[in-house]
Amino acid sequence: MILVVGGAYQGKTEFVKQTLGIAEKNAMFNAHNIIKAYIERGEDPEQILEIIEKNNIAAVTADEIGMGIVPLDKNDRIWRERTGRIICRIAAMADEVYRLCAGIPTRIK
Amino acid sequence: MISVVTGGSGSGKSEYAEKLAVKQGGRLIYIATMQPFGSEAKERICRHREMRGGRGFETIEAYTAAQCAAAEVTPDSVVLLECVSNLVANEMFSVGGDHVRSVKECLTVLSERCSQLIAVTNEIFSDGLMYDDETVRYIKAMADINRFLFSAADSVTEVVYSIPISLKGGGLY
Repeated sequence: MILVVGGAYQGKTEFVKQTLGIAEKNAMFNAHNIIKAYIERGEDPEQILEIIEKNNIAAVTADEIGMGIVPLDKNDRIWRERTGRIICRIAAMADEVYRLCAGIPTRIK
Repeated sequence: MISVVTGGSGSGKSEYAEKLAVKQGGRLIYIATMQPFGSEAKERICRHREMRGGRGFETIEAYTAAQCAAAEVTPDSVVLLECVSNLVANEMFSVGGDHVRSVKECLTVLSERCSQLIAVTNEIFSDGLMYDDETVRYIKAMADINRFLFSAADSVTEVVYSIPISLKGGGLY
């Protein structure tokens, strides 16, 4: 599995489809939003890890979201913290990790 | 010697910094700057204590620049300061005065009194949001101090979702 991280709108999806040549059905886009949806529904966000494994997901994209001021809203803080921890685990599972900056990939794992 | 570990919130930078400190060997001192106000801060402190447990750190609580500068460290010690962003907030909101200068001075003094200072700081500059004047003042102070610290450092490592990336001085790991 390949994890692609970076800021919002930096070309992560295009990198997965065009450069890596991975079909949309084999990819999971915006893992940070999926984690948020689980938390909002009161479900365990860690099930995302199982879903990636069970469905043989070849590529996961996620925004880097921890790079600002601590949010005022408690739910935003919880989301930010949990997302960070879960994406660290996805990074540990991944064979390769890329970081996208304005369309330019850097392989960091 | 100064090593800096930076990264976003929840990136795993603390864990990386602790492992880095343990790897250096010698007397390990952990300077904790977070004040235990409120349940979230307490939870965070607990999580860090658990993570540090068994790794052989002596913990010194120092919330201000003056307390950090006066911390009882020895020339053979490896000092892990966690973290610069709390220290700056404490200085700015509880102590006052020229907080940027106070923090820079305490970092210099600390680094001169131990064998290696490992300073954990924070990337807080990239959410693209506009804030009130006070928060902007904090962001600018952090940027100023980070630039000073990165410049003085022998090595700087950014941790991205648990993956260390060397920004200066080559990989230590």
